Amino acid sequence: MGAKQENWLELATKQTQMTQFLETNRYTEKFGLSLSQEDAKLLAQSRTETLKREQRVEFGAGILPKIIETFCDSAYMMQDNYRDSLIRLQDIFYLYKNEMLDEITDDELLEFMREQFENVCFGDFDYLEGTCLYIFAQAIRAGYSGYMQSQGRGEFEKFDMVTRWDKDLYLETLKELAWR
Amino acid sequence: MHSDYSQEELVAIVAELAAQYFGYEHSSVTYERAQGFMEAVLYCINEGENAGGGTLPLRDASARELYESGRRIVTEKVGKLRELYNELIPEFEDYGVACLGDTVGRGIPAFLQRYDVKFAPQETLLTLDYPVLKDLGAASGIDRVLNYMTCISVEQRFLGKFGTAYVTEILSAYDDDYGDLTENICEIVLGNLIGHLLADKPPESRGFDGAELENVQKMLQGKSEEALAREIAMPLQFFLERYYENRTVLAEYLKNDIPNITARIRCCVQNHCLDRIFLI
Repeated sequence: MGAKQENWLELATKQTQMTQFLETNRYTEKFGLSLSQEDAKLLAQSRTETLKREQRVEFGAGILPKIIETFCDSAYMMQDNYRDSLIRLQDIFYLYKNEMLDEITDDELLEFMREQFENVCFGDFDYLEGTCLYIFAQAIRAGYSGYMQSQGRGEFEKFDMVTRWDKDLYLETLKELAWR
Repeated sequence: MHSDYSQEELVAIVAELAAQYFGYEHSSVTYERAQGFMEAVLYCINEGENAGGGTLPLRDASARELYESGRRIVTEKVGKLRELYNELIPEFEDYGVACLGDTVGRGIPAFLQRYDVKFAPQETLLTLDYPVLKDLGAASGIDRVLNYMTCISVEQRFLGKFGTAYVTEILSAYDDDYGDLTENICEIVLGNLIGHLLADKPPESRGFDGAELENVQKMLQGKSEEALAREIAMPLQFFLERYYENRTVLAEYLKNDIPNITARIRCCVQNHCLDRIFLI
C-alpha cells in the first residue's frame, strides 16, 4: 500500500507541462528573457525533485508559469541567470508553502517574495530565503493574518528588525560627501 | 475493485477536489492532504461499488461515475442518520450512564455538524466510546456511525420494555457507580434477564433467592459454552416473541452477545457466583 501511495503521488507530480513553461517566452521576451527546450526540461526535472523533497503534490501546470509572470520584470533577473533563478525561486516557494502551513495562498506568497526580492534583498536569494521569508513564516505560524488584507504587500517591514532608512545617517553621509 | 481504475482517473478526481478545497488559490498540496483526498475518493467509489445492482452497472461504470454515485449514497446515509437521530432522541434514555449519554446526545449532533461528505467522508470523527454489542469492523465515516446508531436504536428498543426504574435498579446492583460505566448496559440487563428465564421467573419480578440460584447452578453445572448457548436460545426467543414486534433485528443484535454471556455464565457457575450476573 505504501509503495502504491507513493506511485500515485509521484504520478500526479510528474504530469509536467513543459509546453506551458515554454509558452511563457511569449511575454518574457520583451524583458530579454527566454527558456530553451533544455531549460524547460531541467525546470520540470527540478520541480519533480523539489516537490518530492518537500513532500508536496502539484496538479496541473503548477506554480512555475506564475513565478515567471511575477518575476520576469525584476531588475535582478538576467538571461544568464534566468533558469537558475527560476529553479531557486521554485525551491524557495515550495519550502515556504510548507513552512507557512499552507495558510498563505500562492498569490500572496509570490507577492511577498517579489516585493522583498526587489526592495529588501536586492536580488539576494539567500537573504530572501533565510531572513525575509524565515521571519514572515514565523509570524504566520504564530497566527498573523494581516497579509490577507494587504495581499502580501508591505508586510515585511512590520517584522523587519533592521532599520532600512535612517534619516540622520543619511544627512550625515550626505554632509560628508557633498559639503566637504 | 479499486485497482480496476487507472491511477490517472483517480488523480484527476483528487486534483479537482484539491482545487475546490483550496478555492483554486493553492496549486500544490502536502502529501498528507493529497492522501486524505485520495482516501475520500476511494471511500466514495467503494460506496458506489457496494451499492451493487443499484443505479449503475458496475462493469461499465467509470471511476468518476462510481465516485459521484458513491458520494450521493454517502449524502443519503447522512440524511438517514439525521432521521434516525431525530426519531430516537425524544425517547432516548441514557439510564444515567454518562458515556452513553455523551456519545449519543453530544457526539452524534457534533458529527452531523462537522462531517464532510465531499472532502473527508472517510473520517469517523467520533471515538464512539460507549461500546455496542455488534462488531463494527473496519468501517469508517458515515458507515460506522450509521451502523453504530442503528445498534443504539435497537438497544433502546430492547431496554425500553423494561422501564427506566428497573434498568437502573439492575445497573446499581451491578455497580454502585454505574454512571461512570463504559460497558454495554444491554449486556448487563440481558444477563439478568437470562437468569429470570432460566429460573422460570417472570421478567418483571425482582430478586433471586438462594434456592433459585442453586437450581440454576445445578441446571448449568458442567455444561459447555455451546450447550449453554443452546439452553438460553429457546427461552430468549420465546421472550422476544412475546414482548417485541418486528424482533428479527433485535434477535440478531442480541445474538452477538451470546458467546460473551455464555462465557461469563460458565465462569460464574464454576465459581458459584451466579449472583454477579443474575442481579435482581
